[in-house]
Amino acid sequence: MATAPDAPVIEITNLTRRFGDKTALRSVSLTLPAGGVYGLVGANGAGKTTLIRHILGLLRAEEGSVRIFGRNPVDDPVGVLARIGYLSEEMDLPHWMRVRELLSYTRAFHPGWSDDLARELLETFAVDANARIRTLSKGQKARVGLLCALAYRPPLLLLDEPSSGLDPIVRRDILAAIMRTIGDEGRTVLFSSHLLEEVEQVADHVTMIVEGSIVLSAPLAEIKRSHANASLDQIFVQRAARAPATV
Amino acid sequence: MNLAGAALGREFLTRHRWGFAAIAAYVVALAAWMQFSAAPMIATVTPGELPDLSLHFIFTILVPTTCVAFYFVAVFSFGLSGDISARESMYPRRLFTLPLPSSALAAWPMIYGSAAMALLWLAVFVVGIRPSGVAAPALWPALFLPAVVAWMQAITWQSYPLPGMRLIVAVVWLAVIDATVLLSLHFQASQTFMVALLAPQLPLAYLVARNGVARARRGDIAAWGTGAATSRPVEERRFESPTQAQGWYEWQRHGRVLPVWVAILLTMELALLFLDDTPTIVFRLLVAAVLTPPVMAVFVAPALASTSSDARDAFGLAAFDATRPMTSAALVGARLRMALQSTLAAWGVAALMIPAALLLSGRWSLVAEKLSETIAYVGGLRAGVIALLLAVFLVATTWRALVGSLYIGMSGRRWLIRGSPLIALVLIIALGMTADWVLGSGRAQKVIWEGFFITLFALASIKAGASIAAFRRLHQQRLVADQRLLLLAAVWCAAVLLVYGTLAWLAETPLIPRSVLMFMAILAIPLARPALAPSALARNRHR
Repeated sequence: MATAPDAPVIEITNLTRRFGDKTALRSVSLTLPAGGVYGLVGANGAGKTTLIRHILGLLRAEEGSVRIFGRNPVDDPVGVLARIGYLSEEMDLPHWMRVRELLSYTRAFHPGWSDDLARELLETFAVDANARIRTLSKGQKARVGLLCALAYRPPLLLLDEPSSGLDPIVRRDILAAIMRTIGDEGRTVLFSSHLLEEVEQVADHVTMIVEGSIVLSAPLAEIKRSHANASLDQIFVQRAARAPATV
Repeated sequence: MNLAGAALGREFLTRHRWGFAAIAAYVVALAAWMQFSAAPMIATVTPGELPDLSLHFIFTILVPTTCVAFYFVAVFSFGLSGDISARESMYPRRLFTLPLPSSALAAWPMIYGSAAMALLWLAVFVVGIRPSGVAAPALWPALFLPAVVAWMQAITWQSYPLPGMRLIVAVVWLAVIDATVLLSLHFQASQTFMVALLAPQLPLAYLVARNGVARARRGDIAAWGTGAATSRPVEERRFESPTQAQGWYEWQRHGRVLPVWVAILLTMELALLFLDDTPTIVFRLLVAAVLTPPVMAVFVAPALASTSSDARDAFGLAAFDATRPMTSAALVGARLRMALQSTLAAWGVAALMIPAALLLSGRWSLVAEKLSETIAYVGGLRAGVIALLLAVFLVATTWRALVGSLYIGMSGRRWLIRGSPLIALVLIIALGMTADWVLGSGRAQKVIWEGFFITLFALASIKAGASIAAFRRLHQQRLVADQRLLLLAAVWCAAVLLVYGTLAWLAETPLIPRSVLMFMAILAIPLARPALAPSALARNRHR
């Protein structure tokens, strides 16, 4: 099934998700067209990861709908997941694999895999291809995960708190990877973070989520303009404080 | 008690409370059963020989106690949460940061493990073995079982220069302990000798364990050569397709488990061939050896069915696995193929070890004689076909045991996954006891024989109904293409007809109705449970 060229990459409509008594997402609607860097910001537990897991199809939309490249990620996991490069905060790569084995394994799923790009990133990140994943530091694991997510040039790069708990050098690598990805025309990056200065550095568009609700979603420049050029930190604190009223 | 010891003890108790509760319940149930059951525990007694235990004893005491002993080994060596084939120590790293000396880190789990094993034996002895009238020594087994768990702890907490070496060391060392005890029994060693032999095992194992924990804590990993094992260049793999890559992934994760366990068990079982040349004992050992792969498959199946060892939620699915761009059916297909490869590898191990043990122990002539008698009785062709069928049946049974509970593990439902081994054990015990009762009751045999046809019909109907429901679900959820579903159904029908035809040719007698053979063929070829696995995985993957 071909995707219409002007179809939004992500189209979420009235998505609500509950875990027991807790409502993780409340009637969330979000449409992201192709191209650009979208920052998803919010405090811990705000619902960022829940939203990303819906985009990946790891959670089924109980209420509302989720379309990625015009497809339902639960009904068509192959069509959606083959086009997403994903790096999670958990870095749950198989610990028993060697880096080279992981690259070979991942390559098999993505016809667009570039050996040259993988080799180049391996050298840039200074990761030993023969090392086992379990022997890598958290930062090295993040780099390996990023490499696997980038080397097939996916149309959508999805980063869930990618720099959480990492040192400034690895965070710089991740931001550089985001910049590089958007250098290729038409590709889209959605990354979640609670490190707002990072988001401010690279995002074109910011979506703010507070207690499961989207309280703000607009181009960064517009947000700054409407808030008298305040920092994203200040805006976030303001919005979070009025969240209950908004919700 | 020392606070650190209490904390470690509480951790064992909290993490494995349901397992321990089930064991306590078993002991209470055994005590109650022994009060009310009149079933004989000893089948025959021959003066000067070990008593021939009844099925009742085997299934109420021997099988559960052995399972519990294996469980204790896994729990107290931390073997349930580690990679047994890795070079690194399996002692949990999180405990290394506790403000405790390595001697305490090694000693406390060892004390708990040994105490649990000794208590298990004493409890089973007091409530089960002694009332049964089976003459078993009380003291030295209470040392033997703790020695086994202590050595397993020492072996698992050591680091090794090569991957997989831990398994080989464990097999060899257990075989040595096993053989030593069996030889002592064979030569009717005294109780004092056995105690003197076993008592030093605990401090010796402790020294080895302490050394392993201390080295692991320092980050020392044994290496042969100049650290080549960690930086050895790995050959570049090129997978032709996602299916091939996923097959490789599955094999690396779970494929070796069954062949390794079969090798461990067969080593211990076949060692007994060297001790006794009584034909009955030799053939019993052979039957046990041949049944080892399917029986082990039952125990390995939960590990094979687990969706991820890396997931934060041990029963859930790690994002790495869940985000593979493959359909849930394709992921299940890779697991089913890996199970087949693992089965064939396990039988390859058995096919090498059993003849080798027969030849080396000099028992081959006994088997050859029996084979010649069988061929003379049924004819060469028929004997060949029976042997081939038996081989196919055993391989198929092993595979079936491996994949039968796949849908349980893939469902990610904690209560189902945790409860299923217990249910399986209870069913095995119940079946064993029922078989024992049926063998001793002519009336029961008559009832079963008369109701045989209707029972088979009912079972085949249940299976057919469950299969139709599973296929309908696959169709409705669009997990498998309709053409593929039709193909699967056609292959299953062809396999059923093949088995039916072969059975009809073999059992050419009017005593057995053809319909019975057809029901048996329907029940023999798996369909419903493997068909449930993709739906279970899809539910776990898209929660």
